[in-house]
Amino acid sequence: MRTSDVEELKNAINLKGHYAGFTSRSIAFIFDLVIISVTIMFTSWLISASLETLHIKPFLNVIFYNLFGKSFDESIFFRSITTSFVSLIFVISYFVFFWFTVGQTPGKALVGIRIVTIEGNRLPFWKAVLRYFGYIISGLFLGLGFFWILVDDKRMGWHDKIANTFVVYAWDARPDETFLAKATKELSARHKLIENFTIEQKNGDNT
Amino acid sequence: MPSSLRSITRLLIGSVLLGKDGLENKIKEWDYYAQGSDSVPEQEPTFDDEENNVSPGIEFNTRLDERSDLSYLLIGLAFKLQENIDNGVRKAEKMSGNVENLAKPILKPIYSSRFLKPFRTGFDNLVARGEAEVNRLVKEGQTEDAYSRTLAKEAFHERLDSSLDYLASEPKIEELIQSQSVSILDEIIEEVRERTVSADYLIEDFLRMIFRRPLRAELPTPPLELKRLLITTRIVKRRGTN
Repeated sequence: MRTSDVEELKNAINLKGHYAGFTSRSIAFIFDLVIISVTIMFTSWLISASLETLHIKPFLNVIFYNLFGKSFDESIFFRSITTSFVSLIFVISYFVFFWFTVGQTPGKALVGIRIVTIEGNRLPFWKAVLRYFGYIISGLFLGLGFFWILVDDKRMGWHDKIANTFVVYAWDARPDETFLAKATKELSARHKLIENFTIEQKNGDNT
Repeated sequence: MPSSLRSITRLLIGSVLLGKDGLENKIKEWDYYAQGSDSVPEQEPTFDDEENNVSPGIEFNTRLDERSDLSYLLIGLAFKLQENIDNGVRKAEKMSGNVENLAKPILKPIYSSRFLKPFRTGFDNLVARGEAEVNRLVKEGQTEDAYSRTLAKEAFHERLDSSLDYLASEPKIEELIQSQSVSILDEIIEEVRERTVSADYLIEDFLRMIFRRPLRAELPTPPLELKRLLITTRIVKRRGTN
């Protein structure tokens, strides 16, 4: 095959602007979760190390004792509530900030997908916030809202439907043909196996 | 089994031939470039190119006819010289042994005579002094050997380090490494993206198959407006970078 033919073929199957699928979005989400977890862990380590080295803990103990009747080290409940709240704020800010400013989080940028409104524009701030709360709703019923991407014709999850957004490929996307061919072959073989098994079962039931 | 002297001769002749071939090819290349030609001249195969054709243990190669007789004559003479030296050394060794065996019984009465005792003592002292000197030289040799090796290693490593430092500080090399790294990273990212796109369709089809839903005949098409917007953004971005 000539180089020009390859280029032509690549252009013919250019999926840029098409709706991104479940796997791409999941990988992007996992990557974002990794970034968020690492950042939170590093920040909490940095804060506790600073409290230790700068000898701030005794002062905090005194302040906490005067305010709540317990020292800082003893008020585990308060500390865990504060940590959770700060983490939640950070997670919301992370997603909303990136969706609003660039239309894609670092994870989505790696996989090459972007969130756009139905008109194809970047999300306004309120829509980004709404989409995040859509995330919570999608996750409520065992993540059914996320799995909706697999069956929806426009690959929209519940959060996408709530905020009226699409997730599209932002690069000259094309499937890896070799990988696809290999995987399809395996899949059809497995499909045949399942079919044979079902037929055998049916025959067994009839007899 | 070949003697070590023969192996050294072969090594020397091999190095000379290899160097000569390399130099000839390089001179040809320079000559072509000096004449203003862009194409690389057809080069004569070197020993490196030939080594795949020559089985170990076989001492001739396919270029036997191509070389001039004179060069082969010189090579043959070199090996003859090596043989002569080898034979000469062996003969001298044998002869000295024979002379020693022959002269020992004749010289023994003179050597053990009482009149010659002062000379003998002097000679023995001389021999002892010689032995001591030899031992000292051997010891010095041992020390110098170790020292020289360490020095050579040190010099080699220093040279290597400074060469690497020079290469690392060279902006062109730095640029080359950076561009290579970036292109490798780009390739990896593209590969990951391609695979995820493939997996998007594959997993969807698999789940649809499990739930006995019809497979998607074609991709869901996004609104044309959306595609147009994305392409426009790309063009604007490109113009911006240019």
